[in-house]
Amino acid sequence: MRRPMRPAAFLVFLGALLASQPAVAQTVQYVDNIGTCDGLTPCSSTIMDAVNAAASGDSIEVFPGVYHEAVVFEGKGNIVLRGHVEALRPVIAAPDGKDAVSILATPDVQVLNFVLVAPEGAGVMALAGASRNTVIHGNLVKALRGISLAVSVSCMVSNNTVLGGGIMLRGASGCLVDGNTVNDASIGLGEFLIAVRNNLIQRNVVRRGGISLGFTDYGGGANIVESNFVSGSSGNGLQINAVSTSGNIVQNNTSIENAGCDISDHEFRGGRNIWSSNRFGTKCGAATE
Amino acid sequence: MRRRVLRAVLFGFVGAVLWQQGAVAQTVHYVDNIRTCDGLTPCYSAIMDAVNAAASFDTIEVFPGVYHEAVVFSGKDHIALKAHDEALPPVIAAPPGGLDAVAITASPGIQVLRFVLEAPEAAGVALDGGGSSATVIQGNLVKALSGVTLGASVSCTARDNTVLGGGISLPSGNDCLIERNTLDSAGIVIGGSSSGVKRTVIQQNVVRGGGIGLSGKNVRDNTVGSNFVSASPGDGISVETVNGSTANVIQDNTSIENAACDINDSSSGGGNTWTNNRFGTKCGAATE
Repeated sequence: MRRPMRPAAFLVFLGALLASQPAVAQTVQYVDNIGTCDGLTPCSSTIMDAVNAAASGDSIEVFPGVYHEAVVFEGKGNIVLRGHVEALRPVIAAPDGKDAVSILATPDVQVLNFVLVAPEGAGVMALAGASRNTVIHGNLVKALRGISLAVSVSCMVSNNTVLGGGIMLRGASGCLVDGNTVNDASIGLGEFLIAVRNNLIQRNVVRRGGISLGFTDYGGGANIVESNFVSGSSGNGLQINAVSTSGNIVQNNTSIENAGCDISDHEFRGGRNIWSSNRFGTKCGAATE
Repeated sequence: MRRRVLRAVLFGFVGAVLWQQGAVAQTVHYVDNIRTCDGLTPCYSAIMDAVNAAASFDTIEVFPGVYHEAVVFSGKDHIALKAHDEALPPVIAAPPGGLDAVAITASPGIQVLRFVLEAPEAAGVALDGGGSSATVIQGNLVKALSGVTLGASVSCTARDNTVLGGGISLPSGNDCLIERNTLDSAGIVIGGSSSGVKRTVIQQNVVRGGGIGLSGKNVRDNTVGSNFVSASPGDGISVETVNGSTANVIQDNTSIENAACDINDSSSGGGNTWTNNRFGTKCGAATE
């Protein structure tokens, strides 16, 4: 029986991921559309100019300002995009119909400490193929589709505040969704023709939304949902709706005052999932304690 | 002989300190409306039951849950109200009828740490005038009509909150710190009451869809530094003070894409200092 990846393993993995990057960090590209980067160079006036100029291992530091552009990483890996001053998150305001940040077939991209606004798109969208080790951390996301990562391997979505749109991982494996606050939206693990397994969803606060695992078996299972707090969902609070998967663990969560069931398990043709030490009002299906 | 005297004095001093600390009540009260506080005691099902039972310097730790009540501190002092699990802020949802989620009246040393505060008809936190000092509002998500309202505050702190609508207001007070908050569709308002605001620091806040404004009488010696303001429907950072207001410092801020002026100083007395700000448009006496 394959055991789910434990938090300690995630931490070791993520530590290795983060530790490995400074070794190849090269140029810091600066972006400022109000001033001239306090004299720091190279200085671009748009984020995309900096992205185009960046090489693998570079960092891009963005000065406070409102950047009306769609930032696209395509085929350009190992780049960190961050606010120049951690406390003063710059705004990336996507043009109509666009995502604020798109990551296309690009590994090792980090997006740290931004306000991401996309009323018709996603705050961050990672599309299928070769995007791994993506890190989305410390952002305020106000977007129609929130944070949406497809076919992600070893991604990390942490400490974001997501207002609407939610966090959706489709076809994810080895990902960590940790410490996010989600308001008027949900967190979902779904399918994209790839195994959904070994993901850890922990310590998130979801208000007026739920957390759901929904997929059919492509070798999926062994995901952990633990120590989250879910309330006020218009549907179920914590739910598993899956086919032929098993071994998901749902433990130590609080789920209360949801319109549907606080905890719900409808696993078809699969093995048992493990529900333990959850705090809730109502339960449905095979969600047991 | 001298050594013995010194030792006696030292023991006496340590004993006095320990006795004083022991004399200060430091009970932790637990609140849980789903289960029974994991066996921890004393355990209550409502936050107000814990508040009523708490003595000075007690702590109230609240388990994850949705608490439909208006929490009122009146005539209490030095009580910390916090989430039992820092990562999982409980929800305090104010009942209908214009109630605040948390109201603080004549109560010094109250701390509200790590909650989701909802009050569609009133404030997430309302500090009413008189006798409340050293209030700390930190790490909360506030979704309320009036946001965080700090009335007549002395040495208050509002830090690391996310405020969705309503904003943060300090109509009167002194020596407060408003720091590292994120505001969406809301602003920070300083002044407005006749007694004014003095020696308050507003720094490192991100304000989106609102501005930072200092206005009214006796608003002086305040610092607005290193904030980022954008998309306000009015001015970005504005100072419109009158009688007795001077010597405010506005520095190192970024203010951009606001509907009116990015920086604006229309104070009647002048005497404010504007330096090293980043902006698009300026009005009045806002100079660099």
